[in-house]
Amino acid sequence: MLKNRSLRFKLSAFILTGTILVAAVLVSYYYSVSRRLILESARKNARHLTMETVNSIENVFRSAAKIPENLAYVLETGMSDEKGLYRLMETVVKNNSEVFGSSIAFEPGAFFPGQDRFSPYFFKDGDRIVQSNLDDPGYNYHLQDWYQIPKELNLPVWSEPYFDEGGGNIIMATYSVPFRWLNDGMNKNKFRGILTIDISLVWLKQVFEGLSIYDNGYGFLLSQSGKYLVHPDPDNIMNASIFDIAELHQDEKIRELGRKMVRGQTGFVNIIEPVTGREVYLCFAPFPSSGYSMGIVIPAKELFADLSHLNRSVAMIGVLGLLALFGVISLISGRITKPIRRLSEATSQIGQGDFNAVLPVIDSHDEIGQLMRSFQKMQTALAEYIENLKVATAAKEKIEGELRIAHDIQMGIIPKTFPPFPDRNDVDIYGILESAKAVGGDLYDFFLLDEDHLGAAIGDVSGKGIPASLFMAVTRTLLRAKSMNMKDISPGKIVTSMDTDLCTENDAGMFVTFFFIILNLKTGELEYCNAGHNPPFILDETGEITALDTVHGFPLGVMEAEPYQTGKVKIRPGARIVLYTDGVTEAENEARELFEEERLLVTLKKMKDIKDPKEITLSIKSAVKGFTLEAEQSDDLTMLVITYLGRNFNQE
Amino acid sequence: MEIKSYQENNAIVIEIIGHLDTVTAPEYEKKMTEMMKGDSKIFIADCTQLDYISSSGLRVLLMTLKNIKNKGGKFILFGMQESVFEVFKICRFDNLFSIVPDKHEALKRLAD
Amino acid sequence: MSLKTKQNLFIPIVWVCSCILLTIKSVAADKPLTLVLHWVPQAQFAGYYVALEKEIYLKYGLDIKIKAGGPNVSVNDCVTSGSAEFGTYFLLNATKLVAQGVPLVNIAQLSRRSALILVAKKSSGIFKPEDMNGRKIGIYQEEFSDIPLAFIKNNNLNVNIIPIATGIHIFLHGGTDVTNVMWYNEYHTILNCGYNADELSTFYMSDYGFNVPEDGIYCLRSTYDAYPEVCERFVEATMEGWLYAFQHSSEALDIVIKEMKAVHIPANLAHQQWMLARMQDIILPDGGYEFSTFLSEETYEMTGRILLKNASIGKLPAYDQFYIPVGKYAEK
Repeated sequence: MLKNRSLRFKLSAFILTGTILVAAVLVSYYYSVSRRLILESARKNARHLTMETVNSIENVFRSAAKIPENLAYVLETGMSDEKGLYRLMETVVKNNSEVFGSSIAFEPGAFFPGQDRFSPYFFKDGDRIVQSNLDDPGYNYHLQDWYQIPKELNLPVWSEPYFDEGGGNIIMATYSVPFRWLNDGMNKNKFRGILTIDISLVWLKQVFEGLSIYDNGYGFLLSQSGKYLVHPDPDNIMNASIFDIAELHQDEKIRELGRKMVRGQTGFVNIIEPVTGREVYLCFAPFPSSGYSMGIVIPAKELFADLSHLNRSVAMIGVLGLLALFGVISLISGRITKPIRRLSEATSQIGQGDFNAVLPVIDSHDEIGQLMRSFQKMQTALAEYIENLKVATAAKEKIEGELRIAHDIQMGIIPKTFPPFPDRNDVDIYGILESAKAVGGDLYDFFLLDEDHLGAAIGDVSGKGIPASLFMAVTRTLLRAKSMNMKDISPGKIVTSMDTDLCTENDAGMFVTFFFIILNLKTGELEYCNAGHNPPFILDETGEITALDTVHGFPLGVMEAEPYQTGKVKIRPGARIVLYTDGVTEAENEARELFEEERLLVTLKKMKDIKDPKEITLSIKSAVKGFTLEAEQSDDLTMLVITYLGRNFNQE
Repeated sequence: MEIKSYQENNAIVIEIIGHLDTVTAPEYEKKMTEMMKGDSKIFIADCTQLDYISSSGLRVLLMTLKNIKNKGGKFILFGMQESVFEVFKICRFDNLFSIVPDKHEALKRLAD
Repeated sequence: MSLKTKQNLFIPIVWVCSCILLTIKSVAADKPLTLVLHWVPQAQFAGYYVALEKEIYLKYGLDIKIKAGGPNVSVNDCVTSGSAEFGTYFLLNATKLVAQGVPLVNIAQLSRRSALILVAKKSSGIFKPEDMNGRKIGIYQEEFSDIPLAFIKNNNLNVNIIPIATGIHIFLHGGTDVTNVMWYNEYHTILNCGYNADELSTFYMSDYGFNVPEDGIYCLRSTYDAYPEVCERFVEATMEGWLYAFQHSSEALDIVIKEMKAVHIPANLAHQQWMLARMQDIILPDGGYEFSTFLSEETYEMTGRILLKNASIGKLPAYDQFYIPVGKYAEK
């Protein structure tokens, strides 16, 4: 994916990715640590605020509780006068601003013997203190919670808060203190009645409203049974309990929280507020005297608002920083890669053949500078090389031109019409000369000296190219001239004469190996002369092979020496004379092995019954090609095969 | 082909290594021409590593022989492989050149 | 043609006809009929409020007024004085009243099973009836006390009975070890004071041979004798109200809560939801919507035996003096 992107892009991408990763790790670490610290501090603050609130409320409850407790003490230590009792109660209600009302409820017959119920009640009505009695027949106070619970428990008890219809429909709570007979011998220590004070709880709401808990945090208060006494939702107050809310939202966690709270536990928990669905932290603690429990709710969002704000700022700075970084990286990488880009443009120009394209000038000594200098060197070298190549190509073309000329000369002077003597049936000839690329100086030739004598020659000029082909042309011309103009000819004489001419003015040291025969077509007598040439083979009519292996002297043109002798053999009709140059025996395969005489002989043995010189020639050629295969032909491949049929043979 | 040369006594020994054929002959010729420019008249060709010689090769050796003889010097070949010697024999060059079996023989021939 | 579409046409006709008939026959149609309930508005009475609010009574040609009960309202006073034609009573209560000579008749027994439970905290070590020996049992007065007392007697328990009037707080504070509660009401209040069901031992009176159903509709025998057909329509309309309430519980709860708020009673949705669901269990104990308002003679006899044993009554009135099967749901 990145493969096709520019260096500048890749550099920017890698650096930015790395930076983002590092930044992300840093920020998330910072965030989690900060979050923990904030949470810890929030927990402490919430705990502190909760305890402060609990203490201030507890003070009120405790001081209110003292009143009936003291009163009970007074009662137990001997107060039995009705008037005195009323005075005492009126004073209590009058002198304690937090007390709304107070009653003393007696057990049946415990004040006036025989009277089932006796319960004077004093309460405030505006500025007045009103006295009444709770002995209404429809209101059996002996069965009321405020009476029954402390009686059964034998303990002072704060009641569940209640709406007091008589007291202006405000929330109240009653503190009930049991008292007993003390100084009566018969009833000693027996339960005598309940002393109560009623206090308004309206102020609790104000206390909680006064709490400053972030923007939307709040405090709430639960009664002993989990009922909401203070809560932001007025519908819940004195109506629903925390368990009702849990049930309506099927929230077990809230129910568990409620259970902890009504059991007087203390804690700090992270919950989802069921009504709003917000995540909040909740700190809760009980009121030991009343059994109420309070909670402080802190919305997590607000708790971490500063952190979130900071996070946003950090993110913003991060983004801006990354943008700036991106800009800088782009700029730097642009500057770094600019020479590379220019170099790339220049090299692509060079690639298209413009070797004089101007390379950008770099004076830096960094890798880019080095690269640029290397490229400059390369450019120079390349230009030089191309110049050389041009010269070499021209030279090569010249050589190739020469070779073509040489080839033309060579091919122009050898007879190529087969069969050469279609009206003769005593002899058949076939020859090939396949030039190598470098053009050797091979030649062959044949001609009738007279009606009965066939002259034939094969030769190989040392050297290649035009000099060799010209030398060959000269050799051939001399051969024809000497053969035609001499009397009493023999191969030896002709060859000796040719050698004399060729040695003259031969400064180039060129020479030609040469084999010349004269065949008497009537008798089968074969005269020959070998001037340093490969000995030809005679494949006689029975298939037997003999080599004409007498060498009569140096190749022609080497030096004038003893006259060349003439060898003589006689062949029978059906014999085949195979003349060849070293292009056959020294044909090389890819393993640099030579074809050698042995392989030629093997091939010839297979030709036992074949008279057609063309077939023999081509068979040898294909044997050679089959040997060399793909190897380049290094020398001319020249063969001349003469099949002597003879007159008798033909008549048979 | 590779050609190495060194001085031994008053002779220059030329090691001809590899093929001496149409392709390599010009290079040989060039090197020989260089060496011939010096004062040395006596050359010994070490043919022990000469694997193949073609007619072009023969020609350049012949030229060397002629040039040395024109200078009045001597040219001796030694250590020729059988296949190479065959070629020499075919064109009777074995009669033309001084060919000895080894370097010791060549130096001895010079001393004569 | 389906019966239902026919009915739509049919109802106004019936209504008009019955208006005419009733005008001739009685004063019942001239003035609205009043139903007095035996307690303050709550889901225990959802069917009546729904029948009124959804104009089911009107559909049956009835102009019904509902008078809410409460601590200061005596259902029996309302019915006997004629200020209410119909009243709801607990079976036990009504039986006692009839035995005392009040000319009441049961025209529909709605509740099919007892909702009375004795509850104890497991933490107090009470798991079976014998464990209550020597403990304090809080028992509501009057109509609620007969069965717990019979239970105590039946199990030969030696307990300290604490008469209670106001609620379950004395139990929660530990002032009593066992308390009697109604399944649809105070039991849930205990749960929602933070006690889990598995922390409580519950003794369903129905499991101890005291399956005395509670709520039923009553009227004076004279009322029934005069207007048996009005009684029939009233019972059937009421049952249709209950059907609607059970099938549309949240709407029914809205109606109940509206009534509660109207009389300034704290309306606790969770509690009312529980109550309506338990009322369904009590009125339709077998599931489905096959109502029955039939009071079997066996149930009546059983109730009588309990009362006789407690000496709450001297003699059990005859079954057919007490109960009249009224309307289609009263068939066996």
